[in-house]
Amino acid sequence: MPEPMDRATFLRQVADAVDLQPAQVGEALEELNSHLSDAAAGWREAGLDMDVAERRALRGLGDPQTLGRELGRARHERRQLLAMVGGGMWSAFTFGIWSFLFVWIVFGGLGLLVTLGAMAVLEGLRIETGNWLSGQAGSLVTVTLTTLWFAWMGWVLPQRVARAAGRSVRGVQREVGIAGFGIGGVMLWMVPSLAMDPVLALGLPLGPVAFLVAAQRPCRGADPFPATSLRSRLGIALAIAVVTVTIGLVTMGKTTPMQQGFGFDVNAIGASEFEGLPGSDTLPSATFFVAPGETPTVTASAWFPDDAWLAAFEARYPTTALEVWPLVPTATQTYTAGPAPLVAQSFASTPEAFANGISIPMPMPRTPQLVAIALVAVGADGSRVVVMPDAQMTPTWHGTLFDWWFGPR
Amino acid sequence: MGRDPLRSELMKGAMAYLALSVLREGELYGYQIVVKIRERSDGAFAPSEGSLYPTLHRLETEGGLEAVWRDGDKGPRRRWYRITPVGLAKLAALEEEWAAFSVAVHRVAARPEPTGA
Repeated sequence: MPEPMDRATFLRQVADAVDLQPAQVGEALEELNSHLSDAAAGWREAGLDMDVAERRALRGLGDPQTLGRELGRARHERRQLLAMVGGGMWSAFTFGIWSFLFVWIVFGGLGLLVTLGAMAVLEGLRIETGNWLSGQAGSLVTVTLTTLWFAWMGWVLPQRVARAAGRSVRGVQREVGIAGFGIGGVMLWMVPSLAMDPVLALGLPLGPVAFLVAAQRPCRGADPFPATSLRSRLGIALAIAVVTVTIGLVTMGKTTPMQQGFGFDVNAIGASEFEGLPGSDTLPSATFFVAPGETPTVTASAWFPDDAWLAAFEARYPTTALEVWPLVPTATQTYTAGPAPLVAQSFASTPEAFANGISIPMPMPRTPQLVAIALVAVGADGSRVVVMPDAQMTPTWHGTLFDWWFGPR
Repeated sequence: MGRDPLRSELMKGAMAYLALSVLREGELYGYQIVVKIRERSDGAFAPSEGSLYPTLHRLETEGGLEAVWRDGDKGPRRRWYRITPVGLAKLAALEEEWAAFSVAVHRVAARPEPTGA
């Protein structure tokens, strides 16, 4: 036979089952407690001894968990659903901005300071740190801070939504978690267009998951989210900054900086000597400008020794092509052009075309690769001469997370 | 002695009607409402106290009741309930509904008069 429940246990079980704000739960418990006192006194007056009277009073209220659930439902109205949605959106907006700034300024700022100090020390020790802040290690820090931000939102928002809706934190955790996971996920996957790399592509989707997990954390009692002081928050910030920087330091030096001062063979693209053109002290030259972004372009501008030379060039090579070729390493530690250009476009060799600049789309593979950009003079007989070659890394892939995973390859 | 389940279910459905009826005469707190219903019915109705408080809170949320805390002369402070004009209108509607329901139940339950062969 189970042990008879005492009043404190009964009231605690009611409190655990009520989906209301702590103040409302407190009032309901006080009312039930005064009822139990009155009912027990009534049974004592009827001749029962104290323990039996107390048990009869408790039995009169029935199952505490059913009573708790019913008390919660009795206060729920349709307008609370609107308050919950409105309060949730408002809290997500205000707290989202505040916490985003806090995470990036405080955590990011602390991390940056410590990182710059660490980089200076490593440079002093002649240890290569590479292009750390914009490389994949930088992406790792971005992923850490973004995941942290989502987790913090998931930790705090249920409490704020519960307050707005007059519900208990436990009562709204699931809804807030699922809503945050869904809305945050859709926004993260579809909205921001970022300079993406595999670390960001793999790490950023963790954010909504962190929100969902943080929002579902187990809690008991009426107010399971005690307020934390600014000092504790800064302490947590410092601890996380140290962890983030540690991750950064571990990965530091593992990124590959772009190689400088290497040679590449352009023979696969075209000859390097002009034929049938007047002699000149100078040769034509060209510059290439790559504009990054979602649809990157490469623009070539060319200069010729003089107008007579350009006229002869136009007659001998009526077409000029702007081409981007993959570069592949050779056994002799140089590079050579791959079998076919990644992109190529031909233009009439007119002074206007060279003066205005020639633009074509720049390839943007998901993993940046070394390419040769070349302005190629093409004769009527199909002969090809490379006016000016240049080697560059393709620009960082840019777009949404969705496009990264599901866009055209 | 166990409570009759059928009566208990009927009581749950009638709880708002009974509570509003006794509160029409003046302010009462929860335990007094239980006692009053029990006395009025000569002990025939022993309202489920577990369903009384959710009913009172629901009526308060809907605007049919107002509640106020008052310190007791002796013992803990208590939450007193007072019926509002919204509550009176609801009571009138419940009376009408209950009367129609009661008549219908009696009609169904009444034995038909034997008819001559």
